[in-house]
Amino acid sequence: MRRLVGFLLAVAFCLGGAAQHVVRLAISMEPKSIDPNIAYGTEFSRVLNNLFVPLVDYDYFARAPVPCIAEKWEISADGLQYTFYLRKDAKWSDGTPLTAHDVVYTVRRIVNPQVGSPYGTWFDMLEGYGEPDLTALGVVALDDYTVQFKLTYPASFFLALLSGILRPVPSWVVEKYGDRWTRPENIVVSGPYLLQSWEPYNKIVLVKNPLYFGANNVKIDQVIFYYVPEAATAFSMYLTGDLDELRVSGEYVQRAQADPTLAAQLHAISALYCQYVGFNCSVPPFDNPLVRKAFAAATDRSKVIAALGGGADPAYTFIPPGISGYIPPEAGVGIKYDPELAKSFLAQAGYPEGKGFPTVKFGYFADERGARIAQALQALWQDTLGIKIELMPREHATYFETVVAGAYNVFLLGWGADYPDGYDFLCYTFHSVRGEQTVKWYNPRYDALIDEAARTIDLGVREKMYQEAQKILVEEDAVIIPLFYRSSFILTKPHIERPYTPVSAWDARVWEWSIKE
Amino acid sequence: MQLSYIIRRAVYSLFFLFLLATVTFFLMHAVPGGPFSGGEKPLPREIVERLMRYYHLDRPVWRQFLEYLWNIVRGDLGPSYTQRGRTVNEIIKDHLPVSAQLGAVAFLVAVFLGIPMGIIAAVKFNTFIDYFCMLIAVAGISIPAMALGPLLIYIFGVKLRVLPVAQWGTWKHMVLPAFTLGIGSSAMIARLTRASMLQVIRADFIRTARAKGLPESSIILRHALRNALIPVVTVLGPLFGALVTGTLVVEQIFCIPGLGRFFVYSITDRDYPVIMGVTLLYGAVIIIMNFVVDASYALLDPRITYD
Repeated sequence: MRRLVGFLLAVAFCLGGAAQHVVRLAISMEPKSIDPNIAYGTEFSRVLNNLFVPLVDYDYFARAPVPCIAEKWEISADGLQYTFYLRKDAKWSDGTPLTAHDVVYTVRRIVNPQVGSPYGTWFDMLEGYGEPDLTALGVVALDDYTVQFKLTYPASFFLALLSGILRPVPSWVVEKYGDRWTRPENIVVSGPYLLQSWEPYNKIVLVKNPLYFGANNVKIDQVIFYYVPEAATAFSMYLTGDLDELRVSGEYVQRAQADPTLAAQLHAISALYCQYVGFNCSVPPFDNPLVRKAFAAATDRSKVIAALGGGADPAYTFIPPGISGYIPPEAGVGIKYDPELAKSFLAQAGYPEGKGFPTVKFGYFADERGARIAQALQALWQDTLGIKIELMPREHATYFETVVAGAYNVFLLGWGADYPDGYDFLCYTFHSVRGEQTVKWYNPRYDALIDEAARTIDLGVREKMYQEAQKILVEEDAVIIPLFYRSSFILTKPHIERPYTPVSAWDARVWEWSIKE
Repeated sequence: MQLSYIIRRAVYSLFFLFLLATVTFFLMHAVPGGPFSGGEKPLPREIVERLMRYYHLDRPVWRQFLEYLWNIVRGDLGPSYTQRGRTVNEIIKDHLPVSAQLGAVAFLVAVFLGIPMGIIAAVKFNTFIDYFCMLIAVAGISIPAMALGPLLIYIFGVKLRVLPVAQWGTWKHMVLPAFTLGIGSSAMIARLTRASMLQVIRADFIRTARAKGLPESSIILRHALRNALIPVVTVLGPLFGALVTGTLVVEQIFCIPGLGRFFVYSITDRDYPVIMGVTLLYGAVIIIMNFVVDASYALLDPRITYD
């Protein structure tokens, strides 16, 4: 098998001839895994999305799922049955055809509690979910190239979810090598690139996969990911030409903007991420919505963004632009900065000019970003509301569980898209049963809207529900204060031709790139 | 040196390592948080429980400790929790050689800059040369690697373009990080050598040597230096141990795939087996280096013996 891959590599090399197109990218974290069912977080998808193709892809411009391994699909009228027809020319890099059985194996593997996949609970809409017998799960191969999912409710976000997380893995390799199947010497892939080498904390080298079904359109022959943890070093490497693309933030955005040559290579896109302040609504005085509204009205987003050195757009609602359910600022939803209104809210709640208000415990993740945001908010709230804010930074290993334990009145958190649907933003966060249990808040109308949206296939109707739910979240009950939508800034050398989509913020879809001749 | 002495020390060392393992193991488990509770986006509770089961972290700590000890005896330092599919043995095997190479070169830089600087400063005591050497030494101690590294990158990598900005591979990649790493230690060695030399130079046996009419170079290098080196050698042992096991800042700045970052990030990640692995490794290296230092005392000063 390895010999075959080696042979194919050699063939690919000869066909490519002398003009090898290479791009060099940076990763700021070492991938914890490149197993698509195990890796979690954004930095890792940069590498693995070039190695494994999804069952369905997602077009962020059309805001719709598009074919990938599945060339077409049918959804039953009741929305409970999804049938996918797979393309017949999809192959694994060892030459084995990629079939419906691989899809079934992968879904069972994700759901299997013994595997410990971070996506294990996401397929809870499938029939037979939670039963010890995995063969009872509502995913079956009708034939080699047809796979059918059976759902217990018409999950409207199902295709979006699949596009985000369902990348089949080769069962025989996984079974043979266990956790070590993603090693360069063992791995078998389905995507545009093969994993040639992986030197941890140094570099990862990918080469074009000649067996990939879209190989004719892949223009870049080799991709090198350098591990560069230090932003200053990465910026220097981009300047000297050691990197062809780099995502920058903070002071490096300003430095790039100040330089005419670099400014022309700089591109800003939405990072599909919302930073927000949450309240523990179960503990007085924050069980009173008026108090929460007072804080929201005392929050000047421009000050917070300025403290970070820019690179973000003020947010008054939760779902970022690019995700269904986004509310444009013109709609006027959310609580705007209004110090007088803030004071009157606080007075109505029984604390005129902040008199008698207990010291507020404000938790945040103890890094530079967190500290800058927290200090800006502390100054705003103290000055406007006349109350005392105690800053409580905490290291990342225990921060989130401390929030869930209810140790803070107010806390700083964020949410980034897992898949392109508003459901991801509104359900796993603040739904009283399925959510993270950070805000300790229950509103039957909110839960009902989310549950209803989950069953509403029509995107237009669904978006209305997401917008309605957000209105409750950020305005009526003021459970959170959205601060800003993060932007991502990307520098790309001028000799590279590439599209920019919202996923470019963390992804590197190198198979869509080319070199300008 | 007696064989019985060496055996006795080896037994002590093993006992010390066992103590180190015990204290570290229970301390790290006593610290709140776990390997799956952090990250850029928290995992759902149910998934965290699944992962805890997968790595046997749901068992009582004492049982985990016994299992861990049994595994070490068999030479297995366990899996890394944060890098699935990689073992601690592999992490050490992959990254220690890189750190050791860089650390050894940095050590040579430190020694071959520091000792001559210290000698010259002592010989030219209270002259312009002495002040100049000590100025360099003070600067070397005070400028941290996280300032010196980017400065060197900017000058030699970005402006002059004579050396690579970062990465690891050829000898060229080693120049800037080894210098960044070595310069601080060289300053410390220089000051120590100078102080020690100043004491020795005033001793009677040096006056005797001068009275015998020995050439100055022979007096300084053969008689004075040998006696002045004992305090220097004492710090060189642990310094060597620290340099060859890697340092976080220099590795991060120059993107070097060394072991240093695991000493820090294994703790913030609560990657228990990695914490244990690197702690025991560092303990073992320090024990060995102290043994080497003790042995070298006997070489430098024949009056010192062990039995």
